[in-house]
Amino acid sequence: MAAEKYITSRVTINHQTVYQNGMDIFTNNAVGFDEFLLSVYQHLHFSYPKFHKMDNLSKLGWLAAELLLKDFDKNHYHPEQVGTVLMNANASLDMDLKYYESIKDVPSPSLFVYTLPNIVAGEICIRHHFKGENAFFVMPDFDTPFLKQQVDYLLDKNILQASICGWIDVLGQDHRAELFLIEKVKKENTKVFSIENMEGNSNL
Amino acid sequence: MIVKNPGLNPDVFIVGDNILSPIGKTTDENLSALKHGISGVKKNDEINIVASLFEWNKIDIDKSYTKFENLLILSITNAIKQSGFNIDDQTALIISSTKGNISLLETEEHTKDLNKRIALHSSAKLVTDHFGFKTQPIVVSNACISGVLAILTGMRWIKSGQYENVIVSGADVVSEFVLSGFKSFQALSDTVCRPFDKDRTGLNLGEGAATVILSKNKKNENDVKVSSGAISNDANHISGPSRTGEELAFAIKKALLDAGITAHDVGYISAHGTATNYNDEMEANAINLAGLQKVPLNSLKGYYGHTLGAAGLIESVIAIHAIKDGVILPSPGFTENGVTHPVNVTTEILNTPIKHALKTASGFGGCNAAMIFSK
Amino acid sequence: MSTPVYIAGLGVISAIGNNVAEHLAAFKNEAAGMGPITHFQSIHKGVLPVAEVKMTNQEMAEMANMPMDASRTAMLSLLAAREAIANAAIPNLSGLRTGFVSANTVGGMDRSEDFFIEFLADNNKGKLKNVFDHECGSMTELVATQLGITEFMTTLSTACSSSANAVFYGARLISNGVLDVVIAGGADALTKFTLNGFNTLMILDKAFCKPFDQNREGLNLGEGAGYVVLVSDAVVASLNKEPYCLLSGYQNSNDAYHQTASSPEGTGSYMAMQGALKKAGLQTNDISYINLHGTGTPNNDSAEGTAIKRLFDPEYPPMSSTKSFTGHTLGASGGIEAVFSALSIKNGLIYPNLRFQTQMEEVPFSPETHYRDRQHIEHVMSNSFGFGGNCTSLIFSKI
Repeated sequence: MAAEKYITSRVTINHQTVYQNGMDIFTNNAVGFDEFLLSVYQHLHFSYPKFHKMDNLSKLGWLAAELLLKDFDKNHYHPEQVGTVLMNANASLDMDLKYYESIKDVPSPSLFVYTLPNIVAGEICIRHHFKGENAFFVMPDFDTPFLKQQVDYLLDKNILQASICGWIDVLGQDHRAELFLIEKVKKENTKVFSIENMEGNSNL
Repeated sequence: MIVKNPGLNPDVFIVGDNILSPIGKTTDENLSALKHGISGVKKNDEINIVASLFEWNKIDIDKSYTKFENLLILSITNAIKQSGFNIDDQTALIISSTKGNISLLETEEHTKDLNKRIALHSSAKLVTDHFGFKTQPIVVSNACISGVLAILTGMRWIKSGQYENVIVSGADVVSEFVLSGFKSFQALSDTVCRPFDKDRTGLNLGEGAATVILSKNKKNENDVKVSSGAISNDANHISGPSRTGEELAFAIKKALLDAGITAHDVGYISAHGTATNYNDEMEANAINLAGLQKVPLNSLKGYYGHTLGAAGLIESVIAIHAIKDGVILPSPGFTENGVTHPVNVTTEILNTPIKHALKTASGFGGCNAAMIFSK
Repeated sequence: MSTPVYIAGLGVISAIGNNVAEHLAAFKNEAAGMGPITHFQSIHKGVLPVAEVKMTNQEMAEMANMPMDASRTAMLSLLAAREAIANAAIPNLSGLRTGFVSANTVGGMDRSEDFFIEFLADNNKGKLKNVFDHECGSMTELVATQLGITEFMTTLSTACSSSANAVFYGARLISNGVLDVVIAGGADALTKFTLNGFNTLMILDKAFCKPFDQNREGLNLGEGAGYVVLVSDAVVASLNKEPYCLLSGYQNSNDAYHQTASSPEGTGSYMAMQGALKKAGLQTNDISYINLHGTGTPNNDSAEGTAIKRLFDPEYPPMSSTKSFTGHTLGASGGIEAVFSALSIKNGLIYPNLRFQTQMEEVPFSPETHYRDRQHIEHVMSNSFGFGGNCTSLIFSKI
């Protein structure tokens, strides 16, 4: 029996601009991507020292998730009931290239640890204490039907009660994050979880 | 996507399989070698590690594909041939790998085109086109649980009526990239690894590939089922496991629940058992928390090394055949218990009927996986 | 925001002198400070040479105007810190945001170990007051109080790299606009605890140490304190005299190898030196002189030498270990050697590596064996590599 599912929050970050629920809340094109990430962190007054150790993929995902979950009522769920379904095209290639450079001199374990795409999911889970299922897929484009199908299954079968899902990709200066929070609770200004609603730029 | 036959919850059978490793090109060759105690883990003087590596000049490489893609193609080809399977438009493909073609960074000039060529989805497309799949492939890249997660994804597709058959294949190659990384973690042992043993000193790397063909239709009477699977996250640390093992235990218990069985029904555990201090300690805790400490258990990492994205698949194939043959292989390198809450490590070949087998896996990023295979 | 950081004042006390002037004289005379153990009872008396400050606790207490039963570490710290502040002579210091960043490893251990001997014999004996200031942080508080510094104080303790880390931590506070002035450095007194401890590690030389020599046999323990007064460029503008130099580069890296030994390749040392150069925007051939960590142990000197070879090959600057004069002053060494580095730039000095005779087989260079002045010194690198793999390299530059 398919449950009623809703997109209760949504964050997009691309072209060095941050959108929360469809609204442009911050943009910084005066600097490179590295500095952009730091400027988002500072602008939103986040405080999480581990952020500074992360690679750019994890930073992008962490920032998007931090905004996405701003009004998330964690107490409503057990840790095992919340999980992630994420995907991208470049896996961890952005960090792979940087790590590969370090091999020539002194291979750095602090870089190597980020040479897997699912680490961004790990960082989000550590931050928010999510212990439920997480999965990372690599595909050429953001396949919203596939994402919907995966998340539907998880929530319909009660494997999860809420899912942080979407696309997080970084390679050099190119980046894109599209994160959705899917829950079974209807809130004010939420949209039904559908492919149409995921693909639209509509405000929530 | 419309869920076909919403009322049914079909069983998912493994109707074909292959292991392609340094100790054998087919599942049968591998099983035979393992039963004779042959291990792929050896000292390699050239790169100064102890690992399970292919002798590449002994493999029939198609030069139009990379080594990694060759492993996938050869493995799938054999699985299909051995089972007499036909790929139709109801057949999907799932690929599992952690680093795929990363060694191209070592041999090719780095350009924008190389970025695209290195991408796992590019390899998946090449494999799809080689076999003439009519469906779009999916790539699972989730650290060392990729193999199990890929089987789980395929299983769910069949259970929800998305497809009738799914070929799940995974591979990983030992590159300078990966080797230097594990070295920098000081995680490698300079001898054959010793999972769960008191004197374990770390892991061995390995390369390999494996394939399982999942189908809602049984092919042979003794085909084994994938009954269930569950994934969790430690939410603790990105490269060190949970201190308690309770998150892996949660995944194990969920898998048991979904399979409709209890701890009592599990006849064999194929553990992740990488032989690092932390993993084995955590995994043993998890197994105890799930009430499975008496179940005969082994880790195959002493035969294959840690094959990363292929591990979940290679080791699942062994578990599947353990059920079929009623044989549990000894866990190499184990002489004395080295974990706080002991588990029942097998030290010699055990002939015993197995109704249900548990496969566990854990990986960087704090992920855990548990899967039940059943007669 | 990252503004330059200058060194405006120096203060130092060790086996070769009670102040900067005495040290300069000792270097010129190539007079080392090692000798027999005199200021505490020890089973090693007459066997192991040490480099003691040539003052009893009573003499120090009078000079420092501290209570007689204060910890020797605190007194050493106060004497050197006070000298540095006076030397900097910053006008209107009280109107500036001033901090005290001090490092040590033994803290008030000299008092605690006295207490322990009595207490062990009879649980009712022993003055509990003696353990009151046992911890490292107490030393900093006692001295900050005496100096009248209330705005900011903190303690670092990372074994032999402690006060080098204190120096660059202090610099960061200034370059990030948190403070205007930081007195940074460290102190350590010789104690039975350290002497016996190092002896069990079997890395003490029964003769006077020979850093970077093929036939070296270990280190000699020393004691002392060294502080630099770090200031912002705004403060520099108000000074009545030229500052000594800039702190232009620094890096801390970990060897990740062993608790008390360095990796054979000296990876941590290599990364620290390389990082400091990068931070300073310099190449290896810009370095005029290296003040080595050079303890004289087979392990350190081999690792440090290997790291220098890897980084500097094929051109090596003059280098020496001043531990051949002062012994290894543990938590104070980074601060003491920062003072020596600043003096090297200001006065054009190259210090000799005393008692060196035979080049180490694994490296193609030898340390300097004679004192030289009126040298053209642009950039000095000072190394401090500690137990726990904690490796720091500082770079000081002519203004």
